[in-house]
Amino acid sequence: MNCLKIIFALTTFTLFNAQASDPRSGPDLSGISIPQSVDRLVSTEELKNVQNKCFKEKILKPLLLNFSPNRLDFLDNKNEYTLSSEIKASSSGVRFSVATDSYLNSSNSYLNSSISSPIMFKYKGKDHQLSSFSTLKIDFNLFVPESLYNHTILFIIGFDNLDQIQPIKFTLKSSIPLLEFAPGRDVEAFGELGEVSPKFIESDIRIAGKPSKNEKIYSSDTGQLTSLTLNTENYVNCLKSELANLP
Amino acid sequence: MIKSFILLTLFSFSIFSQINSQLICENESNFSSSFQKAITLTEKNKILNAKYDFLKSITFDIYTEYISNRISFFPEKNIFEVLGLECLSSDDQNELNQMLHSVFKEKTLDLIKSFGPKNKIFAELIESNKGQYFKLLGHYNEAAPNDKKAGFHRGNRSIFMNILKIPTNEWPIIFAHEHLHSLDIEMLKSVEEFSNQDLIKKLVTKAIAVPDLNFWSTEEKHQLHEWLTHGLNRGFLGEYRTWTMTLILYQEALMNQRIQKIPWIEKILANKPSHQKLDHYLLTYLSKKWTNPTNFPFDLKPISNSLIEIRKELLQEKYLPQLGTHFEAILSGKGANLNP
Repeated sequence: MNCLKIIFALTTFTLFNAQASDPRSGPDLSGISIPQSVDRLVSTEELKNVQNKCFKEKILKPLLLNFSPNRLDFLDNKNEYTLSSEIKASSSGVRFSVATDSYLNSSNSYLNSSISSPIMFKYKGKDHQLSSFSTLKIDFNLFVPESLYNHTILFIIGFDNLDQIQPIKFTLKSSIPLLEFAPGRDVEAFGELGEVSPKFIESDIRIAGKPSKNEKIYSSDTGQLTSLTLNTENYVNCLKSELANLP
Repeated sequence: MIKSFILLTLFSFSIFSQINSQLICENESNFSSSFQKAITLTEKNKILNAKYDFLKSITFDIYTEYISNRISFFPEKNIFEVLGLECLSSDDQNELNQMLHSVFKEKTLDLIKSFGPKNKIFAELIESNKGQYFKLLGHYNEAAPNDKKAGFHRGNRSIFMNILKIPTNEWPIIFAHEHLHSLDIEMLKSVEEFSNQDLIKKLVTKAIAVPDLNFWSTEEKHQLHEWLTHGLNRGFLGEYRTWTMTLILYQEALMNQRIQKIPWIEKILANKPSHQKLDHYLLTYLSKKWTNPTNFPFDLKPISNSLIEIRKELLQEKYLPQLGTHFEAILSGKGANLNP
């Protein structure tokens, strides 16, 4: 009987902890001396959701609104654009997004998942973890769907920056305009992430932004990479703001 | 032509000390038409950069207007309605709203630095913590998570402040209070320790099986004592430490005539005996207002009795809890950095 009482009591306590009480300390002059919730940190899933939301809202959307492919009159008919760069990638992979004029013409549908969901990197027909490469040459035709060949395309590279940060060098060659965006150069996420409440996570996460207002895009104005307003400060602020909103 | 437009726009805006909604709306319209007309990437880019600076300058003005007590916020109206800025596109409103979080934080820290040496060290400590999330609420379309003026999330360590509930004169003090929570090393450590599910199970099992504390081993009693102290560090003692530091920063700011007296804080201080130290006085003052939990498992005799004993002990000056390294750094006048 006593044993049953203990089991019931412990279950009740765990459930209570998982659901009740405000996880915040406020400017309180009175209250209950011991808050009875078990505090938790940010989960991996929450962080991914926040990153996806901010990537869509603060990177893709302004980019496509302001530099939609049908306004890319600055681009000439060069046969090949080359972009060499180094990014820090995580084991969760690199995000490739493709924007086309057809997406833009269909009532803002570029914001739906078909455009902004990650196209995971495939190289020579296989999935790859970018962290296993130190230097990488990517042939654009290998991972862009053939159905998009006839469209004007902006090619956007981003990546999920959660863990295992490691520098990756890569070169992209393509007959279409390229835009590289690698938030990880500006945004660092620290910490090891784990499961959430009621289990306590002995980890921490901080988004530390090194905001930058400019990214680079190839321009036929100068024949070189040119600064483009793609506000990573907004991206960093969005991450912080969304994280602050979590219950 | 575009260059002159941008310069003219920024110049015209800067000569107005108060928010001029008509001018802002005209500029918004001009930016939009100029962007449509721009041909080259360089031109487009210049316009977008100028617009970004333009929006940011509006946020500076909003902060200045708020801190000077020249604008008020209402629950039924968002900030753009209050200021007559509905002409801004929803994207621009969202961008401006996003900027407000960081601008309010940066500007408030700048203000606090002028309050005195302790306040300056505090502000620099906060500035060095690049990972702190700060959110302004009550002015736009997101609801605050509770009815408090502000809050510090013990888990993800974010801070929110509800501008609707905070009078201008209190703003830097409430701001300091919430950010002090983020510097409370003792509380942050205890968040982890208190949540140790294995230990909780062990203590609760023991408390149910052996209700008389006299039959607990010394080690078990010590573990219970530690766990309850961690619990108090997350609540009552966390507030004690943070209020002690808040009032020290408040008194310094007041002494340097950087803020006006806040009646409800003065009321707290009014009853402090002159011979008693502020920290000990606050512990005694707050202790009466922080009741012990009475539901499970705190209703179990060994746990409730231990908690009562710990709280009695705490009231003795010789057992006054440590403030922790960051708070000590502020008090000692030595700077510190959270991200060395």
